[in-house]
Amino acid sequence: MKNENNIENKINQALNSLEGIESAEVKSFFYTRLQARMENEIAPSYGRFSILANLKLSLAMLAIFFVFNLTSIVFLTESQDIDSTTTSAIDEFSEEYFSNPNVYDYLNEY
Amino acid sequence: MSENQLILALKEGSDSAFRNLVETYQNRVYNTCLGLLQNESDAEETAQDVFIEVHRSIGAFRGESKLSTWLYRIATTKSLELIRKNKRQKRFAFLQSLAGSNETSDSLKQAHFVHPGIEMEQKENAKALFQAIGQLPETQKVAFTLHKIEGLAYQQISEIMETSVSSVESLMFRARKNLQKTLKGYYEKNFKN
Repeated sequence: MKNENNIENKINQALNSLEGIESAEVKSFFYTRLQARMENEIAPSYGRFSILANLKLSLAMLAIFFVFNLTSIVFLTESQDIDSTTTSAIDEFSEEYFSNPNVYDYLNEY
Repeated sequence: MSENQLILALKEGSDSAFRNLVETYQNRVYNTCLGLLQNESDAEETAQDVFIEVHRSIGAFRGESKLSTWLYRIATTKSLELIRKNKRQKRFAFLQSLAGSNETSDSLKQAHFVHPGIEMEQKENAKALFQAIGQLPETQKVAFTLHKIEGLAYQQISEIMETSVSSVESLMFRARKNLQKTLKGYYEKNFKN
């Protein structure tokens, strides 16, 4: 019985222990820490375009793009030159054999 | 600066208004989070989360409730989210311990929590009480914390929890009953002699 009363007292003491509780306060410079965290969280938030945020990487990609373009232009020009020489050789061949049918006309003169 | 002016300035993205808001409400938000989470570093991080959320979604705030009510609502929601996350981690750690891992769970940190605002002579009693509060169902825990630790009236708690005053009274009654039951078990186990 005494033990039960003792426990009952302890329960009441525990339940009343919050009487007169004071509000807890944040540690100093809470706003500064909050600001730093917000800056960190906002900075990389470009989403799927985050690669564009990296200027050095963007410039490097631009340079590679130009190099590829220039290379392809050079190669295209060269291949066109080769095509034109090939065409002229065919033309010569064609001219020699087919373009002047009158070459053999002297055979019909008899 | 009135509350309406503050809200307007916040919506316009004013840094000084945001600083004003943080400095006005930081202790109330932190105290609420600490009461629910019973861990100082978790409470600080969650209080920061609350203000980040406010900064992000102030545009959607229609002003139907007071700014403080909205802040308390975000603070309780964020705290409960973290409590659920910690519980999941605790379950995972339990499974890990079954598998033979020696890592201990973070939730063990709250086993001996004492709120810094408790009077010195009440610290031992409060330690047992906070452990019992930690075992309450979520809604009872929120109502009890807001009333007993943050000192809010039932009317304000009903606005924060979006329920009636009589529901808050009922939650408080059931919370007290549950706490008595848990504390009885605790004292019977620890102070039998």
